Amino acid sequence: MNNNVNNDGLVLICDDESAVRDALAWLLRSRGLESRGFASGEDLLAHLEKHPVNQPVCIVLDVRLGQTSGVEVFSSLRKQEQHAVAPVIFLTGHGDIPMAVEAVKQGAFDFFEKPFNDNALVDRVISALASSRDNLQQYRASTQVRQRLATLSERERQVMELVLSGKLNKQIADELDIAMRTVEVHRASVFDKMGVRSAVDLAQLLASVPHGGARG
Amino acid sequence: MLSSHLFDARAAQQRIAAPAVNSKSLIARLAALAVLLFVLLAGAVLWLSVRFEAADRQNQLDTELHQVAFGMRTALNDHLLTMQQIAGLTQQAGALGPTTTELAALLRDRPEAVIAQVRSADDQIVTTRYALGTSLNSVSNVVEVIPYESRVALANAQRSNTPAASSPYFVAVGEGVGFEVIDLWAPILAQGQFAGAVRLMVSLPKLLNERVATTFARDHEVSLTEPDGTLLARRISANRGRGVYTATQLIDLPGTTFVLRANSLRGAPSLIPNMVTSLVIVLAAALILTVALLVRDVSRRLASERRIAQQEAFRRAMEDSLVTGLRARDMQGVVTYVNPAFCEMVGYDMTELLGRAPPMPYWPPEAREEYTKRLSARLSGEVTRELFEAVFVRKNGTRIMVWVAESPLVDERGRQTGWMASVLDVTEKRAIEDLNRQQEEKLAATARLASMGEVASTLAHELNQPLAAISSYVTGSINMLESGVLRADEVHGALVQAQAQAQRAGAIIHSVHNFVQRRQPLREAVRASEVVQNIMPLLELVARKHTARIRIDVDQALPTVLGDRVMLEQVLLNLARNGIEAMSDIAAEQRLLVIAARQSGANLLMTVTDQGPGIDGAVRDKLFTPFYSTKPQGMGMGLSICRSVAESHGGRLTYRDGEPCGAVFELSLPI
Repeated sequence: MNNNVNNDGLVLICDDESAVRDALAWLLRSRGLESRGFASGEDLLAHLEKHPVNQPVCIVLDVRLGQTSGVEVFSSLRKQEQHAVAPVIFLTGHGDIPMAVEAVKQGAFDFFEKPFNDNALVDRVISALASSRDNLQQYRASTQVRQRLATLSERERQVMELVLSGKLNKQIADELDIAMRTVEVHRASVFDKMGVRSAVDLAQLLASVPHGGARG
Repeated sequence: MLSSHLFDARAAQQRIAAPAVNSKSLIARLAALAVLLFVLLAGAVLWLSVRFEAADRQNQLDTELHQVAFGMRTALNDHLLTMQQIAGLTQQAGALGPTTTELAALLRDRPEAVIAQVRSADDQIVTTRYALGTSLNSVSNVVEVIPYESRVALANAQRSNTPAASSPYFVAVGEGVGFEVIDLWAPILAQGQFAGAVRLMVSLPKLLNERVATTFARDHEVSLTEPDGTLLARRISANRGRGVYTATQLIDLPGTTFVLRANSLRGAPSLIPNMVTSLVIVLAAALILTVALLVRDVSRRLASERRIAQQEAFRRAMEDSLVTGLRARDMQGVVTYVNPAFCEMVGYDMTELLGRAPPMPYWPPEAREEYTKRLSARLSGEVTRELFEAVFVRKNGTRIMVWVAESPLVDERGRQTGWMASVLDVTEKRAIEDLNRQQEEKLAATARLASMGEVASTLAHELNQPLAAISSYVTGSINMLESGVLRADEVHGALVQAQAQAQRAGAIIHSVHNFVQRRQPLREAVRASEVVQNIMPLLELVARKHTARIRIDVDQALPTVLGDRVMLEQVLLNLARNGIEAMSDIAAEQRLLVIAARQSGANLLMTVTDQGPGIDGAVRDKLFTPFYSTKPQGMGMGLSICRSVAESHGGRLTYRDGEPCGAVFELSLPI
């Protein structure tokens, strides 16, 4: 039981029972984790709309919620890439296990059956936060790459594609029917805008982004 | 509703039958009238026939007599004419009157004439000539002396200078015998003066004999009479006239008149030949009438046959369109009629059902005995009309629930020939009802045993929340303490929260306890038969759903036990329901559940025995363990609660295997 490591995360607790919310908050605090409680799925979603994720976040979601069930909240979270960085841990009551298993199949981080082993839960929350941290980094990096890609002009983009496919400047000039000098200028501009020094760096940067924005 | 339809049909039959009776008596009256008319007609024809015959005879007689009279008149006038001629002839010759030769010639041609004579004006006989065969003596006195009647005629002839005839007078031949004669006189004129006269005496009997044809005389009595009726002469014949057909003719001569009479020998027209004629006529008329009636009758019959055929077609279309099955049976229970709806209902062809005697193929095997009993009760007339519920097995083996309304089938003479039943398939309706009832039953049971599982489930959910919270508070506090960073106020707050949640959990438990407690304290005298009786309605529902039979073997006289009636009912119901459900995998006719009660020492033993597969060893050990269930939806509370109830009554609930198969649950309660 290793306490208080990497405490820059936030745990969002969603349970319609205030005592459970309060107790969980206390438990997490005892391990140095910050948390926020929500009485319903709607409140949670509204909060996430207003406050985009900018730190590692773990969502602890009760399967039985008042109006919107935990599973429904989960699927609407999965729809938004921005929210998807937050892993979800389900809490289930008696008889809800098939529902929780289904949620895990769809990508939930884990589930715990009430009453649960509390420190085991906290451990999983910490793992989830670490996972969230990675997710967040990846998300941020890909966001940055996308933003940089967006600054490229049409011609620069064409040049970048040809560079990535391993062509020489001369070949690129021939293909695009422009002067070799012009190719060199575009190439320099692309490297500058993308913040890389070489074609290899550029390829690595784009490969780290899971989606093929550059090829679009 | 069905039955009322049947009643209507019978009433309609009676309505149809009533006018038939009236028409029957009307026909009888018409027949009597026809006979009367026939007799009257026959009489009229007979009477007309007789009348006609009589008139015909009379007419014939009149005609014939007219001819006879005509002949007679002609002959006499001819005599007078001839006499006048010969009188004139003699005048030319210069002598007075005709010669003897001429007189003889006069007599020869006229057989009825007896004497021809010439007399002078001074009444002297000039010549006398007698007809052959005339007796001179008998007539001599009238030959010489002219009788008064003749003299009158002579005077007339003399005065008028024309021939004249005398009135008849009698010539006596002997004592009281003689005959009537008339004299014809023709005056002889000389130089315009009366010089004498020719006399011709004519015998009236001879006149009749000679101038009336024998053929006429044979059939008639012919006579000559004075106008006042005095008989002058009669033609001799075999018989006297009958006086039925008579005719008269006047024979008038210059100076005299007499009457010719004929009286037919024929009597009144006889009846027999006329009757035969009239009968033939009437029979012919009757024949024509009969033929006419026959034609009318045949055409009516055809019309009514057509009407019946139409009604038949109508009825058939009606029967075929019915969704209600119809079945008729005779007094032996043999099926005599089924409609298509019935065939469809039971899945057998009409040919397979018609003529079938009980047991019927669609009777379920386990109920065959009961149905046979019911049928024989009906056939023996103990039940006249009823609506009952039955189960039929279709040909493909599926079972249907039907309502049967059966009422007597009565023929036109009011005699019962069988039974007509209308059959309604209520399987679906019943299924819906069952479902509804099950739901009601479920609802009703919520507060009782069946809800125990749900209570437990809810309880688990309810308890999970505070337990989870307590656990989290405590774990958090322990984490705090272990980390060494002891913030007493925070830990205190968490522990207070944990305490509150623990109390909340306690409150939940307490409310459940209260719920259970409410059913606990009742202790009353309970009779085993009453317990069984009270659960029977529910059990029958379950049994029907699983097509199982239930046998109750409970003595009414068993002693009572002290206990909670409702709880004991629930225990028994639960055991029985388990038993019925356990038999769902065996053949339907073997599904028998026996509920029995008997006394064993100081205990009342109630047993529930099924014929199912029984319970094998592994399961048996956990049989009364809470939350252990072999049913997919089971909570595993039933038997454990049953055992608790038994124990709370100071009794026991035990299980043993049945003989040869099945399961036996025995509830033992102290008396």
